[in-house]
Amino acid sequence: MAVNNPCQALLRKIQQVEFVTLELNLYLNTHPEDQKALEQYNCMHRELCELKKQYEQQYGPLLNYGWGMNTGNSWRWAEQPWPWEM
Amino acid sequence: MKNFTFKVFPAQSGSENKQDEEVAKNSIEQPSVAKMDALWPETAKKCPPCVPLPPQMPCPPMEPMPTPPQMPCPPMGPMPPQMPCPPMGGLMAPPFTCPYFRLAHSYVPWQNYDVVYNPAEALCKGTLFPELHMPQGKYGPCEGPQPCRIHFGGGVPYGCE
Amino acid sequence: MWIYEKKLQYPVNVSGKNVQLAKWIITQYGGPDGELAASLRYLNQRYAMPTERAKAVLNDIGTEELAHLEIVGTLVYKLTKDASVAELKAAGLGGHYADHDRALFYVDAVGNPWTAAYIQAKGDPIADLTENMAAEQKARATYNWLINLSDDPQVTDVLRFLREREVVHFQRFGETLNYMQEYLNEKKYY
Repeated sequence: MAVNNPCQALLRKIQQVEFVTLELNLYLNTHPEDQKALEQYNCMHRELCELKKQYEQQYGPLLNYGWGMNTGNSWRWAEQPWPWEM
Repeated sequence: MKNFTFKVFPAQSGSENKQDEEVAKNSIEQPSVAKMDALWPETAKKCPPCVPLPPQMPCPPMEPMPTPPQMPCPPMGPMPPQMPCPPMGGLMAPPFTCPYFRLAHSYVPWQNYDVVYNPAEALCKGTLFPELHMPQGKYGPCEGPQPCRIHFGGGVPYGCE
Repeated sequence: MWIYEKKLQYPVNVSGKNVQLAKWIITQYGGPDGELAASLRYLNQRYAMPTERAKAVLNDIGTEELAHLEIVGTLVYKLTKDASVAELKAAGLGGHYADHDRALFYVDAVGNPWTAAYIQAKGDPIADLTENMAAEQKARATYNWLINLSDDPQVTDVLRFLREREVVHFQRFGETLNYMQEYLNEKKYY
């Protein structure tokens, strides 16, 4: 899992934090009353939002359909490489 | 369909197939040959004349069946209505204090996590939870490159052999 | 609805072109125990589930399987990128080339197209959840055999991640089944 540049490094961090929120999400689906998991989920969710905001400001949109901001004067969604090309 | 032939043993003397004759000699007495191409179409709609059933094959002498090792009988009496409660951790469902385990149902132990991996380790391992981290070979014995051969000891071959 | 995020769930790198390995791995794209079958099976079973928890589990695992489908697709794409016709032919992908060129398609390791007959929705929540547990086990076993076939450590790393996800999903479906059986039992008697 070598990381070559700052963009990829930040993306990797997002993948890691998002993976933790996914695992807690699946766990909470079957353990909805687990207070510790709820607390950890909220904590990781906050961190994930921060990281995604940071990424989108620096490297372009991660999310479309109105969930991500377009920066600059042209449509950036289709400019960045797709995941299978990176 | 024209050349379709039912061969019923024993074959008549004119049979072209040597192998059939060999089989025929060894087989029990059967009705004579009925060639469908000879019967079709004139007589096909009519029931063929009834023929007496061939004599029954005598039963082979009974081999004494191998006796399976006797399981000790469980003590008679009413079964307890409920499994005893397992100790805490693992089998307890969050909303049910003492789950009732029934036959012919499947259950998975409930996960109750304690420690978790850090985010980098979690992504790398494919799970946040150390107790669910079961890499190849850790889940079961059949996961390696060699074919899995597990013998459940004490068994004897059974079936048609 | 779904919102697409322009990233993979797990990073995918390959050491180089490996057409033979791609031909085997594509079974997890469009084969009987592959990610497409898994995702469509779970997302479709959601509607007939009687509990909110079961719907959530099917929804979220079905969604994660779509992310896995993209990972497997990326593996196949990268392993076959710039392959020559001779290389495709040598790996037994001449037939694939004839029908699809280098495009991905939902097929198993020997080229059979994906079919809805791979999946079921019985409408009986116990039957459906039990099918899903079996599906996770079959996918885990498939990833084992693919790991045994792989000669690219970077590809093996991705397969290892996907295999572990099957173990986690099995646990969640099992817990959902536990709860479902209790729920149906309580509903019957109280």
